[in-house]
Amino acid sequence: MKITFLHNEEELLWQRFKAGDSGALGQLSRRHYRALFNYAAKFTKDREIVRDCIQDLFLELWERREHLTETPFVRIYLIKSLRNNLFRKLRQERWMLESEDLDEDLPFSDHTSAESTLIESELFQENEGKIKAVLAKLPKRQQEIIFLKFYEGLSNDQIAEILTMNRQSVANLLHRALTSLKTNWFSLAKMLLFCWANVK
Amino acid sequence: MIDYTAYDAEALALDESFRAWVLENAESLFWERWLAEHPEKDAAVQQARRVVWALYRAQEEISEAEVDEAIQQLVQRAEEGVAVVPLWRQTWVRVAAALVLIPLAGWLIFQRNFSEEVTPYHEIVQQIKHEVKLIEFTNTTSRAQSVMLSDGSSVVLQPQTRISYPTIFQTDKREVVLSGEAFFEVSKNPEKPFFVFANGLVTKVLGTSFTVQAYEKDQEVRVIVKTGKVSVFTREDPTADAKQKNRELTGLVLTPNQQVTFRRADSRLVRSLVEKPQLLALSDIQQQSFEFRQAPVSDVFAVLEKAYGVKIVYDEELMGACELTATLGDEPLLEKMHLICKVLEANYELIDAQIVVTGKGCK
Repeated sequence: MKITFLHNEEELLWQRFKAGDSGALGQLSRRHYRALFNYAAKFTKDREIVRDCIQDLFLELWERREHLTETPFVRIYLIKSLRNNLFRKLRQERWMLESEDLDEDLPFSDHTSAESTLIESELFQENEGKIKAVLAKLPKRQQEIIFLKFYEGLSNDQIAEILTMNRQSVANLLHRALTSLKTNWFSLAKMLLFCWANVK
Repeated sequence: MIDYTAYDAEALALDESFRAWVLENAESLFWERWLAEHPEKDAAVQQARRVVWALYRAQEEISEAEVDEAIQQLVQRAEEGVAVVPLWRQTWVRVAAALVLIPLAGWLIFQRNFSEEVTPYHEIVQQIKHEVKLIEFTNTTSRAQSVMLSDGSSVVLQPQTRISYPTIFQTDKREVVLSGEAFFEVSKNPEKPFFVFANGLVTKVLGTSFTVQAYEKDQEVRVIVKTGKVSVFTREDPTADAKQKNRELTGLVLTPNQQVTFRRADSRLVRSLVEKPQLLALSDIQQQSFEFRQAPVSDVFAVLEKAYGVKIVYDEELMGACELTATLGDEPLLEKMHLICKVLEANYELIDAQIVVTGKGCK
């Protein structure tokens, strides 16, 4: 019963979006906004660029709404599009600033300046920073894969599609990321215990 | 149903169902009951929960208020009908593009012989993509690397070689696209012929081993047969379609130690015997025979590791003393592993591109 109901609601929202109801755009975008922001923030410290890119992504869908046959509000599709837009934009930016060619590998942000307004207690914030520091030591691809796996909960197949790698390479990369995490594991595990006590 | 009792904290943290339970309280009925049935897993579950939560939280970068503000702004802009101008439509981009494109076009015409806009590799990949989802793998290392296909066939790629292959083959055929040099060991299946597309040349086999050399920069494509029979024809061949569909091997049929050279310039196929000096230029695996006489398992694995560019992990203390007598031929790597493990009463698993062998040893 519940599933049918949700399905209808979903359908209705999508119909409203296609009919040009901006409220529906807001609702649909809100569902994905946080995840997309967190993802894009892995690539640059410039929150302005991240905000612009996501806004442009949704506005583009809005402009094209009459030509869309299926809902584009699907997490993987959105992540993939955002990734492309963001990389293009960052590359452009670099090019204008330094006028030197960039290779495919854009550096992942180092997180040290990430201001997390979300965290409840100061104590927790401190630990949060430590986890981020441990994550930040990983190469950027590995950070990205940890995000897609642990934040988005994507399967290796889905991650492979986003990164345009084969599934085996994803599994390898994930394995490597976890191994290097474990190298820092001793201190991390202690800290995690501490976090847990605080959260409870 | 998956047996989670064998899972440690890390495996649990990686499991999709477990994560869904921790983060979204999904499938809680199953997990709560499971935990009640397996109290000894409590410590692992708690640790896995902490890891999942910590890695989730560490990703947060934005506050609820900021999300609100962004959504509000988005809706406002949508209502105002502020059109996003696609990059290519912005005037300055068009002018800049024209400025770059005109000289570039001239240069391209001049350079035509060297740089074709669409390589044969991409062209075929695009065609096959319409029918089935493809994965691409490029060997960017300086050593040979193996790729296992879904039908059990193995491909050993030389450095700077690229292959596109479907995650799961179609029902009636197996098609891969190659650029570079690779050695194929194709698992036998007459119902599903195996095709290698490489620089205008099509190689069709039913189950055998052979090498294809087709570097984009080279003017020649070469197919060299180690065992079995393969048929070769050009893509421009007007009967290519019929040759592909035919169950028999038609076209130019090659047998062991024969090779065919395809000259791209005039689309000519030339068949010849493999000469000794050329054999030496081939990758090890093409020449290698896998004959073992009371050989220590550690030697056997070392030979396979080298030939296929894979890592085989096993307990050396336990299994190093085992001896093996076997003649292995053109079976794909995993079939070879299967045979070896049968003799040793061991098991193998493919984990993260490593082959992990477990057994009780032979002391």
